Amino acid sequence: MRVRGRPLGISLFVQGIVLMCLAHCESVVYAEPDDSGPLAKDEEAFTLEELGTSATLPAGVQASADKEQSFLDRLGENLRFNTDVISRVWTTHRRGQGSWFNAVGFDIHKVFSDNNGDIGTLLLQPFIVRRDNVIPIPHHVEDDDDWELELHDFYFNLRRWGQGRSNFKIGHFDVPYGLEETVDTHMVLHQVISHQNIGLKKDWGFSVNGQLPSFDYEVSLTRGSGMEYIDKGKNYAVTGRIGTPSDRNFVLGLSGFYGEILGHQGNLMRRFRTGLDVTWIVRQFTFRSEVSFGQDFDDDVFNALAELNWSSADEKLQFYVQGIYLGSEKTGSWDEEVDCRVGALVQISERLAISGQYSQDLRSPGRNPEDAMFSLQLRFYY
Amino acid sequence: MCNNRLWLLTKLCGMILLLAAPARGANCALRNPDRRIYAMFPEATSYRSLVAKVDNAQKRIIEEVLGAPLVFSDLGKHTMYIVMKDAVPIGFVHARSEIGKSGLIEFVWAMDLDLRIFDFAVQRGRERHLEVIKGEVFRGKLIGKGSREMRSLLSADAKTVDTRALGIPQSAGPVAHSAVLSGAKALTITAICFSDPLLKARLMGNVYRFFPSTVKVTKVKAVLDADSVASIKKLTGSEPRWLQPQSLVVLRSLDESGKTLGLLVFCEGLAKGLGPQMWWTVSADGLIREAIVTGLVSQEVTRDFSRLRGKDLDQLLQLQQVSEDELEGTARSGPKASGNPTRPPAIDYAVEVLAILKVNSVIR
Repeated sequence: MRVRGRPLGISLFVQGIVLMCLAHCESVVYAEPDDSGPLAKDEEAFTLEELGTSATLPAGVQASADKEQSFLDRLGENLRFNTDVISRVWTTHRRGQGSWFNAVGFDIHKVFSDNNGDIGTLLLQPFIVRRDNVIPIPHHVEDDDDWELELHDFYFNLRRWGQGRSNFKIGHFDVPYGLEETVDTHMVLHQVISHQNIGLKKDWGFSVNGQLPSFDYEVSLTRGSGMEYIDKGKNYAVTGRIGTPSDRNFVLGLSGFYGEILGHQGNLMRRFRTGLDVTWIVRQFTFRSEVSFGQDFDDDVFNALAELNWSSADEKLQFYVQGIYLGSEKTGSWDEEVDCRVGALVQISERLAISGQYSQDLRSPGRNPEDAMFSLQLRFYY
Repeated sequence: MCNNRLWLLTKLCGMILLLAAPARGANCALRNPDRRIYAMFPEATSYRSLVAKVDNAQKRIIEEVLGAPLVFSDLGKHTMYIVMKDAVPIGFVHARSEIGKSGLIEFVWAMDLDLRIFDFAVQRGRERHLEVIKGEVFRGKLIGKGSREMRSLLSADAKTVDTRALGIPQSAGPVAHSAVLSGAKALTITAICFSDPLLKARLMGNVYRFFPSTVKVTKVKAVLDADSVASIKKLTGSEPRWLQPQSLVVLRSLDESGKTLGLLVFCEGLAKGLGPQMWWTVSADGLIREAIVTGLVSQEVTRDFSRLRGKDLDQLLQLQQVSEDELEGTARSGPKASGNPTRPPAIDYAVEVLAILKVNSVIR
């Protein structure tokens, strides 16, 4: 197994987390009672320290109030720890042989709190991933047929101040552009077009984000290298999205992107995008669409996605159909790629999901226009 | 390589099929906690997330209290939010989902310090008639309800609601049922699965609620050992028998100069499940300022407690001696008055609480 280093990105991130942990521990362990008045004899100050202990019946009030928690107890408070096992296979009509993606990882979600409330949220999703016979190989992967460490979401979102209106996020996270902000596309076949459109799905950096009464926003400054932190000196990405609240049945968002990002061959690519996304939920149907205009260097670009999906009442069965249009002007002509995807997801239990997707190239420059791909994925989450 | 892949896939599939068991990882979280919480509690300045797990032991108790089975998505880890103003708890928020005809209906429930519904919202829902349950008529039926009252809005088998009693069209019955069931679950699961931190938060919140000038809170030692029991028997003529001794918590509210503003006393009665939980505020000279009972108790009991305000131990002891006829219209509603031997009288609870405080020299 080969584990690849990401010195600057990880060290910055780890330093940030360690500082937050130290600040948190200090506030909890060494908190002194304020000296606003003398304590009565045999009476101790009553505070909300050690609040995060869930209970068993009958409620042992005195016992819980007197119980002391260790550092590890406190670390385990408000912690969700899940294991994620994924196996995916796909094949194309043209190649006639399968490609494999297998991954085992963790989903660690921890809320840090003290007497004054939540401090922030830590989300860590380290995965050991193996790709076999994958074409094209993603630029962050050095070799096919080998195990890689990938850090998916790997960030701390500081939510201490501003009542959620001005949070500060640092680490590796979803670049705030388009539908990616409103759809959970982590380790599923069902994707939107962030990667094809702006070239990044997640990136290393920091963002300011928040929820205001009538809209959500996030603006980020990131490295522009995607999965892996790679410093080429000039690569960067500035991304932002403002949208109506994502928990409503009708969501409208406006996004912008500008940067010089790492291309597939490790080259720098100057890219600009502006886009509009919409999500509309009507009964069991959801309609989603995203359109983006912009430039790659000086070439004009227009990309779009439209999706209709249906969910069962318990939302354990979902079907979707997507149409994707990717167009760009190259050397005076307009290159177009049109793709259609049909997929299904079955949540067999809370732990197990199986999904399949059929993708058909309807128009694709330089490739077999009838190329089709069938993908199947098993996901075990516990 | 091909064999390796087959072996890996076989192992993976085997592991998956072996472990494809019922849900344990279900989470009911707010999609946008900041917006929801500060909209429901505009005076809030922060909130604190708490995660607790609904396990099989708690499931049985919850089902017994609810009179309805929990579904898979009710199990697993859930988040409850303690809403705070200047680091003092003022309420609680808990989100829950119910399966509707067109998809999951995600409810957000805000509860006050007495664990009564303070506000609610539909976070996301795909159903028809959602506007009915968002309307003032239906909201009015749910706001202020505690666990027992919310449960009483459901039919005996918890499968329907009486739309006429709720003042809504019959066609909105299914979605109203989802709302009421979700509210009853939110109240019950919050009370049971988060009981320890919840109680601590309620204690702190209630001190500042009843004594707004509080600057410091201290925990007072009030023991119920053999000596105390003997002293109480001498003082009141009987041994304490209605309170759970280990549940007793006494907090002292102090002002800036260190002067006692009053005492907050919490205790539980001898009953299984949820209740009764009693909250008393007592002045330093032993006068009851507030007497509130929460949990699975009737409105009659609630009313009985409210009648204890302004009474001290001597007055309560005198009331205990008064004949049943003379007690008509007073706080006494105990076993003799109601004929229900399982329900101790509010006045007896009060006598026990004040006697414990007195023999421990907490009050004069």
